[in-house]
Amino acid sequence: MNRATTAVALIVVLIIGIVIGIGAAPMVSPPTPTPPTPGAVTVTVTSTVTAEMKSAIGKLKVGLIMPITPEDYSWNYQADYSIKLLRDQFGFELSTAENLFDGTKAEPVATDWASKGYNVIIGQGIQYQDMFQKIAPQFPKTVFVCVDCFKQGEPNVYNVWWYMADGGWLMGLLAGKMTKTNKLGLIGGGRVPSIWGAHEAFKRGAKSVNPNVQFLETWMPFSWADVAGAKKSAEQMVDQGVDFLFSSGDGVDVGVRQAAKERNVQMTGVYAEATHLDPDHIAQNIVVRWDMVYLTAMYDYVRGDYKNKWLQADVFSGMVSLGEFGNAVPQDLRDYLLGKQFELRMGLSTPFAIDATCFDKPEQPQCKV
Amino acid sequence: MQSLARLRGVGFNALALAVGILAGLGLIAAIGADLKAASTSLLLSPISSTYGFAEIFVRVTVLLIMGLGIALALRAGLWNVGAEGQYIVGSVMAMATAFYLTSAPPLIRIALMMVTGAAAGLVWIVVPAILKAKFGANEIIVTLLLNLVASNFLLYALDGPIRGKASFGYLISDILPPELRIPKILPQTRLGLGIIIAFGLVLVFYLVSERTSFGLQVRTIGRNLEAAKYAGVKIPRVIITTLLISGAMAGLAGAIHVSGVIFTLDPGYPSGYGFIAIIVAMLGGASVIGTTISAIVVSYFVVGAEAMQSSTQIPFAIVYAIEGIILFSLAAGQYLMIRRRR
Repeated sequence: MNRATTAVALIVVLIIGIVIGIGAAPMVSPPTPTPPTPGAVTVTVTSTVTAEMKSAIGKLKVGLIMPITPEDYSWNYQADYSIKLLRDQFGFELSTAENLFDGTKAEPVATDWASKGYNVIIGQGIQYQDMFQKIAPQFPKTVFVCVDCFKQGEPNVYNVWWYMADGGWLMGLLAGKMTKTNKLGLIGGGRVPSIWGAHEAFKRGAKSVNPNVQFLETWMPFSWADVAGAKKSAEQMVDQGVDFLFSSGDGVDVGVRQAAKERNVQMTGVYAEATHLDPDHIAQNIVVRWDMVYLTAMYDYVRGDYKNKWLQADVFSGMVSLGEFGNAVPQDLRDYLLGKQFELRMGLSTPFAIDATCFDKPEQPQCKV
Repeated sequence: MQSLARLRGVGFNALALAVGILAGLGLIAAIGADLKAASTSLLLSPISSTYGFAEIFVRVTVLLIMGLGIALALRAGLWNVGAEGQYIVGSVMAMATAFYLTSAPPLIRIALMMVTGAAAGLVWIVVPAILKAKFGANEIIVTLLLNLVASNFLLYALDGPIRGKASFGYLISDILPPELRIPKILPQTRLGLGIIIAFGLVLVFYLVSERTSFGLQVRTIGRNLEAAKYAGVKIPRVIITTLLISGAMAGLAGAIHVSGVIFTLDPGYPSGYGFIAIIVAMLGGASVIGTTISAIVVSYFVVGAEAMQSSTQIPFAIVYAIEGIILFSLAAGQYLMIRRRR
């Protein structure tokens, strides 16, 4: 073998090593969060379930699939935190899998678990929707809980519709009242129905309290895990005068948090209680109680009432709520926002309307805010 | 003498494998995970359930088909590092065929999916093949760079021509209807008839390699280019043919995988099989039988490594790293063995 061939062989070995190594790179650089106190959550969970039911849930085998890693302190963190909270309460057998961003990547894991007799397999995202519909018929004794999903078909796919819009509306009220430049920025990951709905509701909320407000909006086209892209977009918005950012979750939150801190503007995030990470710049978060969502699904499963189920997680159900307020939010505004949340929770008002056809045809006149 | 050399080769590969496994387990110990559970899972989980066992052959199907094509090129001294890209375009075109050619009966459509998948892989390597044969361009660089183009072609296709009717903002194609799927051969697993096609291709490649003048020409070019020239072998033609077959096999692997296992496409569809198949071909000494055996061995450890995640809850990043360490160790061992032979 001559030197050229030797060099070629070395290059190939190196390329293979690099390519395989890329798979090992974490997608989100973790912040250094302080874990929140789980006391309030624990009380709620245990008080709603009988001893008999608790025992039945304790015998389940449960799996949770997450698109990225729990270090985002957002969608994935809250899912991981909530399921482990329940595991500690009920003692069921739990497996989790992370960094499986797409349905095709997650399918071997979900199929493996189902073939091993897992009772409840939770897919934390719309990207698992088609995959669950595909594999569910092979495993009729397993319930596939699909979070942020809505496609109906297989009876053992349990859809959890994550209605983020009323949370978005509350954030819009806050932003509309706090902005000084009258320019608000919205940054999202994938433009999927739940997140798009929250963006639209945010705009309507802000406009309702501040008619002069203007919006800059951007999406990370291919990834919720694009921390660097989200940060850059946020910085560009600040450069154009935006002083309040609405970040709609996952790794996007991580990037927007960094930008808000560095550029000294206010922001809101979604899913997890994250205000304590930077109370001077995080004004509020839409907090989702996945523990209530998961427990409801498990409860339905052990009762045998899980087929063709549809669960909506929203403010009205108590599964979505305001988080802690940041330091910059004055007391009167806090009271105002809590009052609005109360109205939503009690079903006292329907403050905004979004035409669903605007998702596909945003150019229609009624879609303009 | 030859059998002694082969035995030595097997021993060397086994040693490299052991080193890779030990290094991987060392990584698990370093992060404080349960070493016993991890090693049990890595070594035994692929054969401890029907699903695990079937999953080995799900991976064998795709790695073997691609590996056979890469091995053929290797025998001619050519490196097809672009198998990943050819696999992607093969998958995309197979899906496009399924969704756009709707008038033919299902069996014909499945056959057409295979043909267009293979043709797409072939087309994807035409330019590198011609550049290599006519101008002596480095096929490693050209085929490798086309992988990037293929990845973006997948995103374009998912955002346009094959975007699902109800994808709702997420880049995903529609699911193949049941009549366009390659049938499964084991219930509650993902193993389909593709494995039969893969082993059928082993026979075809063996016959072509060992019993035809084309196989002899390929070997001659790989062993001694000057001798091949002297013997009157039309080198550019053999180079182009070899690379085209290699590309077509990768494209076919994509078509079989998408229609037999996955049934849909999304941005996460590429799984690095095109790169792992290079190791498979190298480990198999570029021979048909060797590639078949190494496809089974490599698939075994890929499945074992992935099973570790759910049994030990170590992060997937570590699983990928361990998978990489084992494969890297095997590839490095192979290289050292070749170097020692010189």
